[in-house]
Amino acid sequence: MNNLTLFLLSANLLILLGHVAGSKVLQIRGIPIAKSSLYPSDRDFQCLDGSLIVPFSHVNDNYCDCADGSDEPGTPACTNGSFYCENSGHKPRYIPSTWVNDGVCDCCDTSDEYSSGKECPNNCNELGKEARLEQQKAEELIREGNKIRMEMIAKGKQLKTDYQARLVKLRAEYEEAELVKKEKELLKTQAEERESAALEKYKQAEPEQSTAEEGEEEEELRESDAEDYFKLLDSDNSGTVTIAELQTRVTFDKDRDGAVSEEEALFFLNDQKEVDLQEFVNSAWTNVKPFLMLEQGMFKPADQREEGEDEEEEEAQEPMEERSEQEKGEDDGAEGEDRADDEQKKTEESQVQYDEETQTLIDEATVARENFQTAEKSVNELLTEIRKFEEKLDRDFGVDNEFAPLDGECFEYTNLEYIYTLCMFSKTTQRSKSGGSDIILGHWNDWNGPDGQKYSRMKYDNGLSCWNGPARSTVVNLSCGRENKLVSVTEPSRCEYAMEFSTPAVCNLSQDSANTHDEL
Amino acid sequence: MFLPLLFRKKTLGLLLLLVCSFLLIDAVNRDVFKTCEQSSFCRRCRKVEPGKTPYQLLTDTLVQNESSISIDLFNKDTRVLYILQLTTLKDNTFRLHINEKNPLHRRYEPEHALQDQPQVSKLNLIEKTTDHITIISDENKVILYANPFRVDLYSQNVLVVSANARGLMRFEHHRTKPKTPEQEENAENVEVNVNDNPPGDGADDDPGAWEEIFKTHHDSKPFGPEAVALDFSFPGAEHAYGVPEHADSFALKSTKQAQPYRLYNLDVFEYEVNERMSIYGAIPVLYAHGKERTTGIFWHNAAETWIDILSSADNNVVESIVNFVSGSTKKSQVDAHFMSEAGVIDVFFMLGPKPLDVFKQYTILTGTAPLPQMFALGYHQSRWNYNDQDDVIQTAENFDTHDIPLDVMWLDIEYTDSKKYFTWDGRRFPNPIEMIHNLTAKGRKLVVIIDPHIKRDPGYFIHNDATKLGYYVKTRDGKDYEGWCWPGSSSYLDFFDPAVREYYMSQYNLDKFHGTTNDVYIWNDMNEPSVFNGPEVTMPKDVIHYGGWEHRSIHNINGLLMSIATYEALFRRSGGSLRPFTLVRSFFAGSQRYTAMWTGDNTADWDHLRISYPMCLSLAVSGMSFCGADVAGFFKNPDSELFIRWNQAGAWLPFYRQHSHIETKRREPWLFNEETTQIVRDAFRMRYSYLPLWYTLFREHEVNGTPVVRPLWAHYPSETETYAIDDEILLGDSILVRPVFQPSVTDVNVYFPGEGKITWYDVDTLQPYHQPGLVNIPVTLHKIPVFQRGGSIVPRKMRIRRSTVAMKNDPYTLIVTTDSAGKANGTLYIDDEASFEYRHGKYLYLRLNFDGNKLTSTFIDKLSSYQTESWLERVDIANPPKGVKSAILNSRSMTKVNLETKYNPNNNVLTVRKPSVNMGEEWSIELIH
Repeated sequence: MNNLTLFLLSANLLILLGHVAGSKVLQIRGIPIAKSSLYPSDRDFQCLDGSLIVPFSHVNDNYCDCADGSDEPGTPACTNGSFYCENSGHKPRYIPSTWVNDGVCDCCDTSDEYSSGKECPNNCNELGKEARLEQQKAEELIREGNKIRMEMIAKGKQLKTDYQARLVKLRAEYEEAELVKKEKELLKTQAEERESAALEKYKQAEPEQSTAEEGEEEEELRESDAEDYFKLLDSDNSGTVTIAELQTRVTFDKDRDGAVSEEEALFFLNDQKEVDLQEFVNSAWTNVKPFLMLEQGMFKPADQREEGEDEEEEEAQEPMEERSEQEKGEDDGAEGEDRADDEQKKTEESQVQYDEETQTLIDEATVARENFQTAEKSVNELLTEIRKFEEKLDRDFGVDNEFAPLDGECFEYTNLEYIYTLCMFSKTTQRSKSGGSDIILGHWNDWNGPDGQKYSRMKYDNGLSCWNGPARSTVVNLSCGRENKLVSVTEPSRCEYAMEFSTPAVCNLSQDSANTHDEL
Repeated sequence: MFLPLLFRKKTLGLLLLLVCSFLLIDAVNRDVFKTCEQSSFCRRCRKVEPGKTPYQLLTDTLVQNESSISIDLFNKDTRVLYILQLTTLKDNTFRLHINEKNPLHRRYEPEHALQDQPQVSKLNLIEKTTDHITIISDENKVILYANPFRVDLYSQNVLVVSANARGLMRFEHHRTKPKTPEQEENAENVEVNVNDNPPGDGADDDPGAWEEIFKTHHDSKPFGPEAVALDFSFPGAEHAYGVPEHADSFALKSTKQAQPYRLYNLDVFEYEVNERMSIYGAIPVLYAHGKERTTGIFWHNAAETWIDILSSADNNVVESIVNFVSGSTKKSQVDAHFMSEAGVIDVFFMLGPKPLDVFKQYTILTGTAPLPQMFALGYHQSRWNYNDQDDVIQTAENFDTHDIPLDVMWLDIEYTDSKKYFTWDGRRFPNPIEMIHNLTAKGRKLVVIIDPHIKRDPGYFIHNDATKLGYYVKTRDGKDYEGWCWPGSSSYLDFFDPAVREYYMSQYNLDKFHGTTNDVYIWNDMNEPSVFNGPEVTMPKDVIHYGGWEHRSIHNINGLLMSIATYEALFRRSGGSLRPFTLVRSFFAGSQRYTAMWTGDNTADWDHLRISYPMCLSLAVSGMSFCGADVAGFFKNPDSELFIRWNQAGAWLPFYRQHSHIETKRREPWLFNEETTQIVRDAFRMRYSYLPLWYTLFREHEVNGTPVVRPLWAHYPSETETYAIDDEILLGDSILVRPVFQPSVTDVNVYFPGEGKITWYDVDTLQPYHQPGLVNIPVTLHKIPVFQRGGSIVPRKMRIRRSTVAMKNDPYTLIVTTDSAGKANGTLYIDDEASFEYRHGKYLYLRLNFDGNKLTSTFIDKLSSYQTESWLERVDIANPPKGVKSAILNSRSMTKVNLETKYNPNNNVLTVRKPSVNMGEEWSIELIH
């Protein structure tokens, strides 16, 4: 062995003995003491993946020999290696080997920057103290939160039991109501038979009713609606509706940017600065009506097609946000049709004078009808209620139903421009601070946290579609907190929102302490 | 960034209709842009009939100077006189200049495209007859024929280019506007005059001669017709290249049955590929290449220009001219016809003869790109927009979390207060300095955007200053021109005014542009200039710039003027110590001296990925090496496969930046899936490991004008198969890259140049490929084919850090791939990677040579020196000599050191372990058998 080799060897030893902290244990830079046995200094080193055997002097000699990087735990020579900082006073940590001697202080004990010339302060004690305090706070938070969580679980359980009990009761009531309905129906049929028999004699006197009437009626309705709406819009009673008057109404904020631009207003006024009643009814109303209906939840896509306006996607998808109301409306309409006919008949008939006996039969039939309607309504209401509770019972409110108490609760968050709302298990919305209507950012879809943490993230999707883009959606990240609070809302990508929600419901003592142990 | 059609529609109804058609077609709106037929000068120039030139030299008027001659040129149809000047320049270059002898108005000649006054060489007049004049300079000869007028240029006695051989020259003299019919009626003796008049040039009959209307835009054209045009024939050439910027193949296509190539800098929304439409930049340089030689012409004109190309394939026409010009019948030929709306004829002939000679001759005229800071060659992460300062910090931090290198974070227009440049949105960026320090702590930089339009807002200081001081571009009647751009109503700083440039530069002072530091660099977008409501989305041609020039005359050079000012501003900001970095969208010949460029608003589809290679190749040979495309497409969302392939390809283009539209999904590399993150991380690491090569090539470009990326024919000029290849590039002369440009493929065809005399080594495995020509190479999602040429030595750094700054002192690895004689060589350039100290000799330029048994590193520039901490970590020799047992390192500081070697029989590679010698000294490593 010549002098030079000796020199190189001692240089290597200097690198090797990075941490000789009073003890005589030969410590290899970049690995925890516990793993020192993998690097016995009295024999050749075998790469930890077993792929190669190199002289021990090749360990931490700042040249990468092993494919797995295991010969260079303390130098940046292997791009795929990792470096262990002991960080005495704080938490130990592994960093990528490429962070060693790169001029950035990554380990609080300065051990990663031993030859870059970068002067790093050893602040492990301070950081450790801070971290322990943080940890304490976090643990305390979890403990406190966990208490509330337990309450929520109890409440959730109670709610479920209540729902079940309620459901049992509702079902019983429903059975009963069905019976009543049947009975009332029978009574009604009988009364109506008597009534129609009595009415036979008046029949010839009645004029024929045109079947085409109903269609026309809609047209009239439309015109009178237009007049009413014109008066509403004409806020200064000038006899004309102007751009400025339209601009005060969010109905006309077509692109939902929070303001009604002149262009938007012009569109509704058929490119005129102002219109009088006649022009409004004749031309502008066609443009206004769909949006008005939309706003009032009356919109039906079929109507739109009839209008002959083959408009683009945003238009077509806008009604989606009102879908729930709309469906309800349709249901009601279908079931109520008979009733409407009856009522109409009644008004017509009342114009004729009947003899006392007939009138009595008519009155009795009317009462029977009304009784039946009441009974039917009650059945329907009960059905709705039952569905509601069945849904609630079906919903996944967490392993212990801890989220059940949050069902239907809404939380707000305000930033510089918008007010956001998170309605748990329902929807998320955004509203401009400068006015305008709610924009749906998503309807409740499901939990979608990662494996093992399913209940850490909620997904709301199928919100209002963006121009030329996807339907808005929201991800809600849940974190442990003393109170239920919407902490922040961001839009990381266009039309994809992220909400941070703190809640005691995820302050799980057992789970979290397990996680902490893992980290250590 | 894109032009929102939204701004330009009058009613919502119309908008809806448009949106509809948009969704259906989803493509560029061609109606917005002119065809040649819709442009009156192009129409006039294009219909000139070949073989009937009215121009003739008046040889009696010849005046000879030391390095130039001038002669009068006469148009017998108009009886207008011109002065022709021919100047002999150094480096096989000639300049032909033609202007009117007695002009009615002056004409614009670009001031900033040429880097200096070109250096002249001595001219010898050897013959002058009434028929022709012959001059020689060095090995070149020029013959000017008097009637019909033609200029033939010979290199080594071979005719290489001929001007006006087809007789398409047209020089529309300035004239007085013809009287209206009413006025004519009042005039006397009209009929007599008509008989006396020459036939004229026909311009007066063109309805667009004195005013033009395109769409709703009126162009007043107060100077009337003033176009210039000239044709060039290149006998022996097989293909023409150049005249960027077009989203088209590298080899120019024949325009016989199609629109000419157009050069008119425009903001084209959703531009399409394989189009000759003009887009953002214009460099009017054209190369003609054939087996024997390469020749170039530089058309020094900043007005709107159209170029017709005839290739060898256009048999009939071409053959007759070949016969006419050279008397031969078999030779191939390329013809070009340049047509400009205004200015003079000023054309440089660059006679090569080799491809790299011509590229160099062009950069001698217009300059090379200054060596960038190393960070600029790293990875750039951009998006329209990072929402706020926390977003910027968090994104940069995520690169660390995923162990992916990152050098620069970018901010698009939303960082400003209401699109008022040089301001910050205080709500989203309350403390930009803190944000910047957060980046620079890891060696990273910030780039922010500054656009040329100024918001017309009475509360905006720049608007108030510019209004008061008259710094805006003016309308014809002297008012401040107003257009529509990002901020809404805007006006445009007139960068042609030196006082405006001075004012603009002062805005970058750190005490002026609050929230910036010397680590903040600049991106200039929209500088065509883009005007949303202007004709073809730019300024009207009759607005007036400083000096009274119409926009018509200067349009294409507008972007360059802004780049000059931004570069100079950044230079001054650091007191001349740090190399500026700027990125620009619109450029002209000469822009390479100031800025990098990118290919604008592309789309996330495979076609746009594919076109990024020919586009950057075309720019590279046109002086603009520092080119890249938005990875992985600006508009729309790439799927993970396209994202991977685009990163693998983008990592091998000089400028490597990811950027995307505000309505796209986030696409930082970890947002797809684990596999994608890993593959893209590998692509990044590939890029960073080759940075020593990139840096060396940029330095060599600065010194020699050699493009950083090159077409295959730059080094294999006689291999005709390479002429149309543009899906493959050479990095320098040593690395061959063939990205995957199609989805779901398991193999690609790679063309190996060298005709079997060269072995190519797969850079991943160092496996050799001996077979020349097209070879089918299997690929996986993890791999694109990249090869190192046998006979080359490539420097790499194998320790991939967070950023280039963190890698500065890291050791080098040399990859030696031997040629058939067992030899190899290469170069390596090293300096401080940031400052201008290298211009004062603080650098190392090493020649690396392997003679078959000994590897040496010697200083090429003996007088320079630089103290580096970097050392030699490892040497890999592919196809090494047999039986090597060890090696000995020899250097002054370490004298003799024994080195371990290790031979890997699987790929036939010998590794020399840890020579440890500092790169700042000369050394040798001898292999011991």
